[in-house]
Amino acid sequence: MTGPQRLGCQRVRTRNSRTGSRRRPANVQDSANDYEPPASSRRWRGDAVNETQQSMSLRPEALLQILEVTRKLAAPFDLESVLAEIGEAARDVLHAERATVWLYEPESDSLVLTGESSGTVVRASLDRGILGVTARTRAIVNVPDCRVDERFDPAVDLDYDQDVRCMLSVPLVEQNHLVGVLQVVDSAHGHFSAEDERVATTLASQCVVFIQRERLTRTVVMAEKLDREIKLARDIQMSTLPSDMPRVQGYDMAGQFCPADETGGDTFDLVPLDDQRLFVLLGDASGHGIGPALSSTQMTGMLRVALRLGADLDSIFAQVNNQLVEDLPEEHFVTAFLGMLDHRRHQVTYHAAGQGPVLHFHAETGECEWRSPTTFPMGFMRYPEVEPPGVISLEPGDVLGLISDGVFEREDPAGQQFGTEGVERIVGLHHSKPMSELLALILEGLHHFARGAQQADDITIVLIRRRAEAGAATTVQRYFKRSFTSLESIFQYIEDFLRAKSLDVALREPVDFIVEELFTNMVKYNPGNEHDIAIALGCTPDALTVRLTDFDVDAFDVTRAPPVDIDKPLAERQIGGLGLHLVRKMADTIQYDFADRRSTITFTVTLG
Amino acid sequence: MFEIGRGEAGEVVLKGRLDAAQCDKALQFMDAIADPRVVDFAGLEYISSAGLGVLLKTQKRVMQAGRGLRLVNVNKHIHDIFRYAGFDKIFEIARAGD
Repeated sequence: MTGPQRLGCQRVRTRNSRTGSRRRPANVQDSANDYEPPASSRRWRGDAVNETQQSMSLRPEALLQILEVTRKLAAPFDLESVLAEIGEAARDVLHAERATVWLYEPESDSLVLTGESSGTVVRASLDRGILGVTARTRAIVNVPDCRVDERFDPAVDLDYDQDVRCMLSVPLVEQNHLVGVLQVVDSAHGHFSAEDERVATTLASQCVVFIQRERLTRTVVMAEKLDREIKLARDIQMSTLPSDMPRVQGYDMAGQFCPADETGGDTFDLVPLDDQRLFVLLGDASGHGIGPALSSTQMTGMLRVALRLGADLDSIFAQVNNQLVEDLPEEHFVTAFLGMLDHRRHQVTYHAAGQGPVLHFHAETGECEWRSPTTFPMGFMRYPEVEPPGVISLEPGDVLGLISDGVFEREDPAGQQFGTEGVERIVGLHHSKPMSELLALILEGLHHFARGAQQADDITIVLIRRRAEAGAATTVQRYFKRSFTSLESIFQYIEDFLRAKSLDVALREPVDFIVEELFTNMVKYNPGNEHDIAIALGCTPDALTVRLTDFDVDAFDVTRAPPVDIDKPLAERQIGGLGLHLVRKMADTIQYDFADRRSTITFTVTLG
Repeated sequence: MFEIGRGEAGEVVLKGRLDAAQCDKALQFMDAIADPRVVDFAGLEYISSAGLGVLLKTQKRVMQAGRGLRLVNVNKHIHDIFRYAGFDKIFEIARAGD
C-alpha cells in the first residue's frame, strides 16, 4: 500500500501556524539504541498483542469499554472510521482530553496523521518528540509532565495551544513491525496511572488488529479494481487487432498475439486498402503491461487514420514516427514493421524500424532468408530522412514472416533461446500447410521448447504466404534425428518426393547412396551434437537438388576429401574415404558451404 | 528392410536394403560363417558404403585362407557402385542375367 493513510484523530486541535512556545532543545538527538527514559516514565518492550496478562487485571469498567470498542470495530469500517473509533474509545476509557492515532508510513519512514475533516496531512519524523521516542523504541512512554520533559516536542506532540500537561504514548506494533502510535493526552486525574498504561496497551493491541484488517481489505479491493482495469485495457487492446484475416486472392495469412502479461506491448494489423494493396503491421512497444499496450494501440490508431487519408507508406512512416517522438515518454520506443503488400505484383515494400529479423522463406530453395531492420525504432527520434524502404518479392509458395522478438528470445529452463533456428526448423517442414496451422505449429514448438519456463515477453506472429501455383516447382525440407535409425524415414522421404514430382524412381539408388553417405558422416563425426540434420529436396526440369544442413559444427569440406586409389590390391584397401569417393562419382555437382558453424552440402543429379 | 540368410547351396542370400543401420547385422552374420563362398545379390535393392565395408572386411578374412567371395546376381545399379569402388578388381562379380 502506498501514500499517506487517511486518518481519523480525535479532537486534534489544528491551526494554520504550528509554532509552539516550547521547542525541544536542538542538541537532543535520541536514538532507539541510546535512549533511556527518565524515572518519571514507565515503559515496557514487547508486542502489544501479547499483553493478555496485563489486561486480566484491568478494572471491569475499562474492560467492558474495550470489549465494546472491539465489538464496534468488528463491523466493516473504513480506515478513517476505525481510527476515529479507536481514538474515541481511548479518550473515554482513559478519561483523557484527547487521543490521536498516528500511522506509520514505511515509504517515508514517518508517522502520518490526516485531519478528520480537513484532510490535512501531517507528517512527523521518527526522531522528534515523545511520538518519535515511542515509535523508535516500540515501548510505551508515560510522561507525567510534558513541560519538564526534554523529549517533548510541541510540534509533533501536537501541543499547539501550549496546554498539554501529561501524555501516554503507546506503540502500535504487530509482529515487531511498527504500525503506528496512539497518543493520549491530559488525564482527568492529572496523570496516567500504571493501570492506564495497561488499559492503553490492551486497547492498542485491539487497535492493531483492526487497522491491519482494514489495510488488508483495502489491498484486496485495490487489487480487484486493478484487475478490472487491466482486463478493460486488454479488451481495448485486443479490439484493435484484426478479428478475421483479410481475404486476398492468391494469398493465405494468419496472425496472432500472445501477451506475456494481461496486456502487452505487441500489436499487429492487416488492412486491405484497395484491390491491389494490403497494409501489414507488426509493432512491439518497449516493455510490456499497460503502458506499452497504450503506445502500440495509439500507433495502430494513427496508422489507420493515415491509411484512410490515403497517405503513402513513406509519409505514414515518417509522420507516425514524429508523432510518437512527441507522445512517448523518454526511453520508450516502438519497433515496427510497416509494409505494403502489392498482391498483384507480389511485392512487399516495407520499413522495418528496429524490427527484425524479418523472415522470407524461399519455396524454390527451401531456404529461410532473414532480413535485417531498415532503420532504428520509431518514437526514438525524428528521422533526418526516411531510409529507402526494403523490398521483398514473393515467389509462389514463399512465406513472409513477421515475428516479434518474444519468439526468438523464448528460453528453455536452461536459458537456451529458441532463436531463428527454431523458427526455420518448423517453417522448413510445414511451410506448405495453411498459415493458421503453421502459426499454431510454431506456437506449439515454442511451448515444447520452453518446457514450462515462464513467457517473459509478448509473442506476436504474422505469416503471409503466396499460394503455390499448381504444378510449380517446390522444395521441401525436413529435419531428421542424428542417428542411423533415421535412414529408413530419409529413404521414404526421398521416394515420396520423387513420386510426388513424377520423377524416375530409379533415381532413388544414387540419391539414397549419396544422402546416406553424407548423413552418416554427419552423425559419426559430431556424435554429441543434439541438433537435427536438415535435408531439403528440390527439382527443376533438368536436375534434382539435394541439400543437407548440419548445425553447430566445425567445417569439413567433403569436396576436398583426399582421393581414393581404387586400383590398390585388397590388402591395402581401406573402407574409409571410399564413400565420399563414390559420392563424387555419382553426383553431377557437389558444393560445400560453411557459415555460422553451419555446414551445407548441396548436390545435384541430372534428370533424364 | 534388410534380410540376410543362407540359401540351399550354402550361399549367403541378401535381401532388401543394406544401409549403415543394417551393416552390423550383416557383418555379424558373415563373421559367423567360417568359409563363405558365394553371396547372392538377387534380392538386394540397395547397398551403401557401409555395406561395401562389410564385403571388404569379409573378403580380407576369406582371402587369408586363400579363397575369395563370389558376388552373384548383382543388379546394374549395385554393379556400377562396385565398379566405381574398384571392387571389380578384388571380387569375382557376376551380374544379374550373366
